[in-house]
Formats: sequence, C-alpha cells, structure tokens
Amino acid sequence: MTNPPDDLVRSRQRRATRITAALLFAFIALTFFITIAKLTVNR
Amino acid sequence: MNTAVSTRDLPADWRDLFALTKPRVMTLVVFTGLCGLLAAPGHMHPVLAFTAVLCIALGAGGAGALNQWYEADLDAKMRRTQGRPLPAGRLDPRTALQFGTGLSAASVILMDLAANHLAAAILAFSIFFYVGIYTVWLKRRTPQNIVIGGAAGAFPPLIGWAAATGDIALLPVLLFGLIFLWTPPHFWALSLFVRSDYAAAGVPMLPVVAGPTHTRRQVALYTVPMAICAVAPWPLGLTGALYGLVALVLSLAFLVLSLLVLANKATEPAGMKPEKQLFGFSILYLFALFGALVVDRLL
Repeated sequence: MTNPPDDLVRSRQRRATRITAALLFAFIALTFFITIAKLTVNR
Repeated sequence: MNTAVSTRDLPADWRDLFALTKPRVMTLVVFTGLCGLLAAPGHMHPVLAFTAVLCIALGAGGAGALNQWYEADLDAKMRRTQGRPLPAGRLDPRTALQFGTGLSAASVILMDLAANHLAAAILAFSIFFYVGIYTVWLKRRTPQNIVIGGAAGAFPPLIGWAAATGDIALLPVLLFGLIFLWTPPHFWALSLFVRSDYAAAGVPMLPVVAGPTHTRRQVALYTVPMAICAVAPWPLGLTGALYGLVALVLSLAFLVLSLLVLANKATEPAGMKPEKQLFGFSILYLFALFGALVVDRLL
C-alpha cells in the first residue's frame, strides 16, 4: 500500500471543510429559527 | 511493489458517510415519523415540525452508522452488503463510530430543544434499542432477533406524535404495533431468498436455523395480528372510513401473498417468486397505509 497522492488528500480535505462550514451555517440558522418559532408559540 | 492507494488514509468522502446512514431504510423511518406527526391532533409550528422530522432522520442515520460500524465483519461476508464503505475498506472504522455517535447525540439534543423531553427520550431509547439491543445483543444470538429488534423501527410514529402533542395516545401505540408486527414477515420474506448470505455470515436468521417451511408458517402467522392492528383504528373510531378501507384491502392482499408464500415449497431463490413479491409489496403496504392515514386525517 502506498500513501494517497497529496492532491487527492487536499481535494478531499477542501471538500470536507466546505461541507463542515455549510453544515455549521445550517445548524446556526436552524437554531435561530427554532428560537423564533418557540418565542412565537409561547407568546 | 504494491502501488494500491490506501483509501483509509484519506479524509472520508461524504458519499461514504451518507451511505453509512442507510438512506433507503431512513426513507421509510422518516415517512412513518412524519405521518405520526401529521396524524396527531393540534397544530405544530412548521419550523419545529421540520426540525422534529429532521431529528428522526438524523437519529435513524446515526443508528444506521453505528450498526454498520459494529457489523463490518458480518457485512464483509455477505454479497448484499460487502460493497458498503467499511467492508470495502473505503472508510476508517473510527470515523464511522464518531460519525454515528455524533449524529445520534445531535438528533436527541436538537429534538429536546425543538419539541419536548418525551419525544427526545423516545428517540434516544429507539437509537439505544437498535444499536444496543438489536445489533449488539440479539442479532448474532437468536433467530428471534428480528421480532424484538423490529421494535426499533416501530418507534418513529410514536416519536412524531409525541413531538406534536407531548404525550402518547392509543393511535400511535397501534401504529407502533403495526410496524412491530410487520417487520417479521417483511424481513423473513427477504431472508428466505438471501438465506445463503446469512448462513455464510453465521447470522442465526430464522430460515437458516429453522428452515424455510417453519419460516413460511411464521410469516403467515404474524400477518394475522399485523392485519388486525392495521385495521383496528377504524372500528375503534380513531380514523375515518378512507383509512379503514385502504387498510382492509391492503391487509387482505398482504394475507393472500403470505398464504402464497406458505404454499410455496421452493428451497432455492430462483423458485421464490412469492417471497420476492411479498417483500416488495410489504414496503408498498406500509407507505400506502401511512399515506392513507394522513390523507384521512386531513380530509
């Protein structure tokens, strides 16, 4: 077994970073909307 | 010189992580959970309802990932599963474990935040039941694995209902019973025609341990209480005639197919057309029944 080529590793890392960023953003947006919805329901 | 690339040294590919969540199984879990939520009385804020369904999906995905992490050795022995990311060597087992644990924990926390403690507690228990009771404890030990383990897949309508109302009523309990009793005929129909796969992996599925004749009898026997559980909400006044008639017709069709399975004497997969038909129909049956329940509620 040889180590995977650097460009393949970097391309996978770049994609993983982008997906993690998108998921974090989605989580923050969802938490925001849940808070607003809870406030609306409990009013 | 060996020039093969070690894919386990690579960062995980998102497609492999997605495959860990068993997306096809998740479809049915999410659908029944959504139907449980929509069939519940009262109104739930759309954002909170969306989050509750998302949590059911995340929880099912996390449990599926943990199941694949624990069963990688079994999956490698079966033709049906040897292409999965872990047995195929495309994913590091530690990544799968962390991914499954993270998804499961996130689903429970988010459910508690968006819905209520009861829905979060049932979700947590269903994940524990699928991973701890079914995968780790029962699957490799008893031919009744699918009977008790099937309860794990029966929780979503209860979770959906609990998320919407904060309590449990008779209808979601009957829906739980329906999926619980549907699971054995559904899985045993499949395991009859992939019996050699399970035997090769050493999994004590009923057709491997007790043989096809006994399994076919059990398929027909489980279909009767399943059909009663499916139709019961109508005479009990919990649903309207639309759901009742759909449940009656489809349950009769299920019963006829299970009798065809019972009458079949084939021992090789090539002669198991009734088993394949029953397996395919059983998926359609559950989708149609839950769909009819929601339409009945909305009308």
